[in-house]
Amino acid sequence: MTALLADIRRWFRGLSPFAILLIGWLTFMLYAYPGFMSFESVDQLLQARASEISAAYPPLMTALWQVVDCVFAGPFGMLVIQTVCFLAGAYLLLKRFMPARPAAFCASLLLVVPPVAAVMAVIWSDSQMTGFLLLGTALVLSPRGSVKIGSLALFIAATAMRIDAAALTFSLIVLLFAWTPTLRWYKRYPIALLVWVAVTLAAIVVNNALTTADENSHPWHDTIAPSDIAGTLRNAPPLSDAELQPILANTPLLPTHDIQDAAQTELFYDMPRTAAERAAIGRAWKELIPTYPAAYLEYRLQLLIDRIRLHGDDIASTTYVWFTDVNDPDSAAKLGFSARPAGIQTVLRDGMRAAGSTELFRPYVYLLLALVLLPFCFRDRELLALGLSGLVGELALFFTATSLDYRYSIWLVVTAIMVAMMLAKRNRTRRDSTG
Amino acid sequence: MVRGSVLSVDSSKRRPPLTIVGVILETESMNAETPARNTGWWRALSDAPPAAILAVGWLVLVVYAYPGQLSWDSLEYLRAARDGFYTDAHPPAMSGLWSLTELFVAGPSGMFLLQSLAFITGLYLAMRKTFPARGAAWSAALLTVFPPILLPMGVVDEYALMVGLLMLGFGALLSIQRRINVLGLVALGFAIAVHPTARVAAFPLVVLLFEWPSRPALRRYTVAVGVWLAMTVLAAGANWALTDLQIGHARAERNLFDIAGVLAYSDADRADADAQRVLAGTGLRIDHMIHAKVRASYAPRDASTLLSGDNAIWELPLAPDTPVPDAQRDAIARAWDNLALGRPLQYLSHRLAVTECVLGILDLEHQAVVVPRYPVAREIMLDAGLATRSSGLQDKMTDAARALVDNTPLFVPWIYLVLGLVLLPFAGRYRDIVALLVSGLAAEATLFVTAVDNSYAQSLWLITCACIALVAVIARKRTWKRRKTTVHT
Repeated sequence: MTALLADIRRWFRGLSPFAILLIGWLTFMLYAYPGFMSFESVDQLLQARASEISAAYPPLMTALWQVVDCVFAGPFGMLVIQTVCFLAGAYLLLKRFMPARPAAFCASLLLVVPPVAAVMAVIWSDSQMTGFLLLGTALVLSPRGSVKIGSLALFIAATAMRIDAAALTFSLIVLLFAWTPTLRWYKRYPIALLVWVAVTLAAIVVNNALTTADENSHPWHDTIAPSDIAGTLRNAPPLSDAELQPILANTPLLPTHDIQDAAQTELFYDMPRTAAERAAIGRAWKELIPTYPAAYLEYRLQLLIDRIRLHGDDIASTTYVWFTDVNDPDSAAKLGFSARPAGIQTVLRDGMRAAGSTELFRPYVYLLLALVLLPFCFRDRELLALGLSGLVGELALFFTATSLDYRYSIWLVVTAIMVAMMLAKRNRTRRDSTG
Repeated sequence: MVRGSVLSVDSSKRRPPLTIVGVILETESMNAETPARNTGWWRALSDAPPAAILAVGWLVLVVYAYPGQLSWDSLEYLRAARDGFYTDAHPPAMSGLWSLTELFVAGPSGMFLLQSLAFITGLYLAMRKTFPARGAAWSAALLTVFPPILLPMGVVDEYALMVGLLMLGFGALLSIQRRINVLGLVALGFAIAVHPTARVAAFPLVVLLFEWPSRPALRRYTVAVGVWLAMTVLAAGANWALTDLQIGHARAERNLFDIAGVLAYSDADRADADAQRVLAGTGLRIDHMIHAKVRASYAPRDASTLLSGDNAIWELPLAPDTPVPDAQRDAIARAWDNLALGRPLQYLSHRLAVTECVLGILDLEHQAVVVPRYPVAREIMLDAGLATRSSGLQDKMTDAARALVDNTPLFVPWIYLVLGLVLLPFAGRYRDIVALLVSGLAAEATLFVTAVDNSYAQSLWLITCACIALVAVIARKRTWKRRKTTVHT
């Protein structure tokens, strides 16, 4: 038995970093193949096939799926893109802090740990964004100009995936982008800031250019502003219909009386369809939120507490482990795609569902971890950029999140774990060298 | 590392091949550098690591066939694998393997991965005997994407899996490492379990290539034959142990096909009373003008016309889990003895006609060279958790494949038969090529007595062997000539 273990250890030590990454990726695939799809994924794939790219989902992602679907029909191609980018980016970043083989092992581990795998297995914009961000961060550190340009393309793609992604890229680009290493700080940071602005604008332009079903994308008017209005009304002092109706005039408001009571329900707004309705929503938001800032902040704080599960209540598992829209039995027929779980996959899916209600899936754990580790990151630009990116991203979610989905915090989870790994390795190396 | 390699392994490091075609047709002499080759993609191609080259070749196959094409038979295997109920309608080892892969990946992907990786790995190992590493990788990748091989290799069925395993076994037997040789034997054992034709195909490979350890010739071949026997018995035992129900359909179908063939090639029609006497109990669906109707219904390219459709002659249970009644089985066997053995000339004529169809000598219309993407109703596939939509690129590749099949002779097996026979004398000095060619030709020869239709995939092993032999013989002859010239100079 000991000899066998020694053999296994020797075999493992003989593995190349690429082999370790491949094993990690294949292990992940045992759980995720050929990729899980929720209602949004199904709808997005249908849009991609119909070439009707709407702003309801990130247009760049829909367009990318359109291309990928021409080679591999269904979710598999997208799963490969997001996981390969993730693994490659994590490996290259970790390699800066540790030798290649441990870096490959840690990158593989990062992909398969349940809090990360649960999101990366689903074809969502969050998963795509995470993959692009990691690879972009790794490549922006390259001394080669062409690679740096490639990293900016990845940042544009990541920014185009989510409305708040610009906050995530801010520290990554501003702290890490240096066109030449000889630039002094007063030149380097303004250039990097300009690059970040350009990346953000480019993402918006790309999304708008790709949108074919609507004129432009309006995520703020469609989801964030209506949610803020409803949430603020819930916490605001009593307001009569007569007071509210002028403020909410021309908005796609569903209730006609007892408006403030109706704000407690989810069916408060319909999606704005015209420019006039969007303008009305903007106006209502500008009137209500500055008038009742405490109510707005209370709503946002409650949403944050619920979203990061900072409460003692048991949490229901929100992990998504189905191959098509679980609520729509016809989704498989619509897509021409169906899949069954393999034997091991069934066990892994059950395990993931069970893990989904454990402490591992409370984002506040990672928020605390990131906050605790941040002071140790100040002496290293890369660590600081990663740590700040996760925290700033979470801060941006305070203002932009509209639901409680765990997946919104995936970047925080990934950066917190990575920073912990890098710091642990750095401290160990330092201890070894001083010892 | 391969035993008795024409080139040493180090030669690949000394002189990296520079062009794709050059890699295959020329070996170590590819050092004539031209300015165009020193930069850009030429350099990328010539410096690509073998694993990357193989990966590209494999990816082309994956792009064409992902997640693994299914035929009607494949669905039967999958159903049996999921139900865990195996009959002898198909080799149960195939369904058994599929049920194992379903533990890791559901659907056809696992089997497709298994057969395609086994094939390209074996092909690479085999090519290492002729080329340096990079050249071997290029030739293996190019042979994998060669349409007459690529198309049937994309289908998850017993032929493709058998060929994949045979190729892995062949390549592994050429290794100088004993452990890899044993792995090769295991692969060949699985191939035999997956399809009976592999028994014949594996024989020359094992007998000519397996040495354990080096002994005098007689003892060496005795050991090799013993190993082959053991593999065959083990494979048959595994299939027997896995079988839950003997339905005897395949044998009954072949016997009825032969009976119809003999009747079709008889000069005079038998009287109905005589025909009824000879065919009593065989499940005849007709009672008058029997001989004439058999003659009309018989088609050497496909036995199923006798058993289904409007002109069906016999009633045979077609459901996969319904056995042929013992009495009917006995009656069919008796009738076969009576007719096939009693009229050997007619039997041979019938079998020659079937073989002509299999080889595409007269009848060029092969069954399912390009397998339809969806063999059954979409609802059934979706219920089974299978995709019913191919990608745009796959559809384009399918159209291109159909055009190739319709307009080129690439998919005509007799060409590869002739090629194999022509190459055999040239391969005389190379034991591995002889073993491979004999294997392919022997496997094809079994179809003379076993084929019940002219499906193209049956000849896949012959086609693969002939293509490999062609590349290897040309490359080795050129190398040998060049060396001879160098010595003289």
